[in-house]
Amino acid sequence: MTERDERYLPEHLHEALLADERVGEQALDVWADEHCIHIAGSVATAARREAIVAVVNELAPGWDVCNDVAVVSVDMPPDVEDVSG
Amino acid sequence: MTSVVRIAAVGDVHVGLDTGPVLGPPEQLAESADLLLLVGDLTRRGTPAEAEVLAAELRQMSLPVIAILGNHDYESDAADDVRDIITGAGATVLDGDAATLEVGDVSVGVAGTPGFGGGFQGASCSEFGEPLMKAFVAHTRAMASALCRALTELDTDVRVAMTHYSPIEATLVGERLEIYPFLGSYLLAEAIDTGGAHLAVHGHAHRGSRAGETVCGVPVRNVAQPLLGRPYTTLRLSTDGLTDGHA
Repeated sequence: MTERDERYLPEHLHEALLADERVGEQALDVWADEHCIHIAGSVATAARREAIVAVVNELAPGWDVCNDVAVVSVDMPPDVEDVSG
Repeated sequence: MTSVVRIAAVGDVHVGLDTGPVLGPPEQLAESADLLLLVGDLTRRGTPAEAEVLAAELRQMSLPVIAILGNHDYESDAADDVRDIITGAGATVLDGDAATLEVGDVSVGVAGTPGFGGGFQGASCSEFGEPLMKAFVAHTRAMASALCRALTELDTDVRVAMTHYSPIEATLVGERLEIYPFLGSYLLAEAIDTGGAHLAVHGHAHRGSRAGETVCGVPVRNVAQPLLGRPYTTLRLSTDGLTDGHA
């Protein structure tokens, strides 16, 4: 099998992060520069955020990972909005 | 007489085996709202085990809970199991149909469907060409038709539409424009307007915007939890001035 072109690596990683049971998140941005793989977006738990690095390391060994993914915070108290016309 | 219905709403809680409670203290929710709407992506990968985690939390709730499924809830081809588990926890799971309840002296109807994609006016997919393309649009059209029918059949003081996918573009602002067709469809807005909804809520767009309205002025709220940054939001809807609204 022909080795996959690394220029498509961000999209391959995007699909892998969605498919991987440890992450399973669709709303992630993935891009690469000459230094590292960048991941941004949000996930529900810290474990999923850490798993992102593991997935990238498994699929793209040798690349540094810039993990800018946030863990969704639901710490703010519920708010109230009047939606009456 | 004017009454106010307090609707707690949230979507995209993405419960997994690694998550704790996602809805906050049950007593706080019961005090602040008359009903809770869960607008899809209840689970991370749509497994029965994940649904059981959410079901355990829902069993602590003392207010009516109405839910729909989202795309994540279909991922493991176990959507029927997920639906049964959530229903078993006392919630009503809608799929192109409606539920009604009484809040004080106000009758409330909620119609719900996951919805689907296709895009928005001026940039929407058409039922043309390859069978897969036709199926894509036809699926959205079928869901919108069911939503419209369910809304139209409601004979309640208040009518609320809930979808997972967005009915309008305004609540997607913040997402990449290129993926709008995968985040919602104008067909859902048309159903909401034609069906005479007084309020519409959706999720799916984690990085979208919270508020918008349909072309007929129905308020639309994106209640995706990553966007809210809180367990849920409470929408207060007064019966004062509400019209019958059926087209």
